[in-house]
Amino acid sequence: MDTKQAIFEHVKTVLVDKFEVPVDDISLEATLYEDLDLDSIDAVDLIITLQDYTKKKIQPESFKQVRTIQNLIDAIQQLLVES
Amino acid sequence: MRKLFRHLNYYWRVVATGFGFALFGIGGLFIALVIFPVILFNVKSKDQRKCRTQKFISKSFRFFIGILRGLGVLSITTINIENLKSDNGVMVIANHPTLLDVVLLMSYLPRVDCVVKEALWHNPFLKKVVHSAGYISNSTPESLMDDCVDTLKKGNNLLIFPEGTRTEPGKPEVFRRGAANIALRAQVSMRLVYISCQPSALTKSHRWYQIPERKMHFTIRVGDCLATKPYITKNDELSISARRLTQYLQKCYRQGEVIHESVA
Repeated sequence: MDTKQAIFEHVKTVLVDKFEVPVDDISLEATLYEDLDLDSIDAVDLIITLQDYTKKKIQPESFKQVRTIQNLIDAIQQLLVES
Repeated sequence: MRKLFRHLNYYWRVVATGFGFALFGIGGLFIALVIFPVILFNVKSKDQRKCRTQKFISKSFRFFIGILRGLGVLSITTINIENLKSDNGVMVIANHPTLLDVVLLMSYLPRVDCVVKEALWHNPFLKKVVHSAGYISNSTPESLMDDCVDTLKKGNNLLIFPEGTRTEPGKPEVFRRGAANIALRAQVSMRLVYISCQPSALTKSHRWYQIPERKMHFTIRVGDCLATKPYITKNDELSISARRLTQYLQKCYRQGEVIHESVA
């Protein structure tokens, strides 16, 4: 199972490559919508992209509470633990 | 004497503006309760209803704007406006300085879909009208995007304000990426329209009776029909293409330049 650090690195790569987020803006405390300027369409895209990584279907509901990168990593790890 | 005339004109316009608001509400009610059931009764097919309802709304708006012009509340200059009428399966986008923008643009667009906020779909008077016109509800972001893409693919026009809300007066336009995303996914062109209102009025920070010193003058410039295909590239994800397109559009609107090609 991947560590939180590995998940963070992966999320970072996706955000930079797919959403042109400046790499320096990405920290655990950064909020997806405000700090990183993602919108709801990006959020759906992000979930689909992360499904390739988790190899599991992600329920959009489980991401409703996600606000920050930290929340996102926790949610992904939760998914991986459940397998 | 001149000063007196200016004063009289000002108060006249306050009264006329109030009348305009009342007329819009009462007229809307009259249409919903009296005219609309006639369309519903006479036209059975869904597509025809949509067409008839949209045409009727466009005509009503044109009539309404005509009255405001006649009362001396506003005046309008249009540039290339005839290009709007020939558009099919196009996303019409515009900046959003005033409360009247939708009414103004739709008065020139006999066939256009638009996004209507969810509350109106539960309004007892208007729900049948918005439904029959085939307008799109903004209830959830996912269904909103799918519905917008669908209607464009069917060859309907769609009016969108990419800012999502009225422009903050005196601030540069901030475009959200939804409009670009929809146009790219539906693979349709965008018709760029630029609206300006001098002096600034009916903005988010004005109340209805806070009218400008002079009468409002609107300029509606119909600009390029921008092909969005060149923004879709093999190497880039759609999320990147939408960013590029949004950046380009935002630049055009911030510079106030929507006419680049020589529109014949």
